Order: sequence, then C-alpha cells, then structure tokens
Amino acid sequence: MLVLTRRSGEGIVIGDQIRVVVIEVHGGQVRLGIEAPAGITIYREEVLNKIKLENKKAADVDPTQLKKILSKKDRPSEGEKGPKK
Amino acid sequence: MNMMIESAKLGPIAIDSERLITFPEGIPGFPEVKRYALVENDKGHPFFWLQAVEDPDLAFVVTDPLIFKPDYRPALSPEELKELEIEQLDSVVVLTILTIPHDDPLKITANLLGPLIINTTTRKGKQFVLSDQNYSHREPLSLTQLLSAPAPEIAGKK
Repeated sequence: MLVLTRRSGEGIVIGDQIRVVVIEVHGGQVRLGIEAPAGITIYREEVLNKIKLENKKAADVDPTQLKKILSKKDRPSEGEKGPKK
Repeated sequence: MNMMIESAKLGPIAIDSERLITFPEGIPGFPEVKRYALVENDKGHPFFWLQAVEDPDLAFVVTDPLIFKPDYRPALSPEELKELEIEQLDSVVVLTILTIPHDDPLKITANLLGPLIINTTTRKGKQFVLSDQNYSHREPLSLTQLLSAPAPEIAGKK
C-alpha cells in the first residue's frame, strides 16, 4: 500500500479523473472530499463489507426453508400456537 | 429463446434468454457473476428467485420491498440514475434481497440498505449501497404482511 502524508487542504490525484482532498482533520477523524467520474462508486469500506457479507449469507438460502415459510401461508395459525424458542 | 439452467437450488429451469438481467459490476460479494434470471417460485406469493446464469449454485430470494415497507424510498443521486441510464421512473424496478437464517427461517430479514435497482428498458441492474443510515441491511420482516400480499408484477414478467 502506498502511504502518503497530507495536511488539511492538501490532496492527492489518482489517475487523471480521481481527486481526494483532506478537508479537515479533527480528533481521530479525517474528513475527505472525493471527486470521481459518475461510473466510479465510492463506499465507506465497512458498509460495503456489510453488504457483501449479507449477500453471502442470503445466497446461502436453503429452498426447503422457503417452503417452510410458505407453508405458514396455508396454516397461518400454526406459527402463533407453536412453542417459542 | 429458452435456455436451461441446472439450478442447484431450483432444479432444472427454463429461462428466456431475452429476459435476463445484467449486473455489469456483478453483485457485491459475487463480482464475477453478471447475468441473472428472475424466476417465479410458486404462483400466488411475493417471493422470486434471482438465479445466476453463469453460476448454477448461486441464487437469491428477492421481493418487492414496497409490500412490507410501503414508504420505502431509496434515494438515488442523479449520477446514480444516469449510471443505470434511467430516464423515466416507470422503467425502474426496485427489489430487495431476503436473508433466511438457517437456525430460524421465520426470522427472515430484508436488505433495505442495498436495494437492487433494475432498469426494465435496458434490463441492466445494480445493487446500490444507500448512504441513508435509516435503512438496515437486516430489516426484520412481518411474514403475515408479506404472505397476505398479492404477487407483484415485477421485472421478469413485464
């Protein structure tokens, strides 16, 4: 990983279309301004990781479990009466 | 034209190759898989399968989020709309991926933080990650509400 030191107000340029500027450094936080073309998606890393993990979990679905859920539709009272875990 | 997929989850299914949905960047976590088919599970309920074409093992359960969250309005920026070449809002379909936990399938959740936005004209889609922190990636669902809803008319059927 390339490591650079920047002060508030200074920036870096990535390629010819992406620019990142340090807006403010305060306490343990850094505010960044980012300019990039419309096609480039910019995410907070931990939020994107959360979505990736959730997608993996969602893809792990077992079709028999969906059937189980749908069987509730035909017998809607069953869920309410069943023992609580 | 119909093509067959030997889906690990659904068995052999016939899909219309002209009705595929392309996710040019894939779906986060599965960047290499670009093409999906929207498959009805059973008639008369609001669940659909989003079956990957290139990977027969990969499929998601999806639904129309407005069924259980009528006020759901994922805010997309003009740049994001442009990215999907969305000009008219009536050519947009919003879907949400559902997670059905193995240990307790009735604790089903919806990923409202990462909606699937599909342009029904170009049949291109993308999973956006909202900056709106009011929406959760694990929004609990009311099954009663979901199952009493009529099956929606969504992308694959239009």
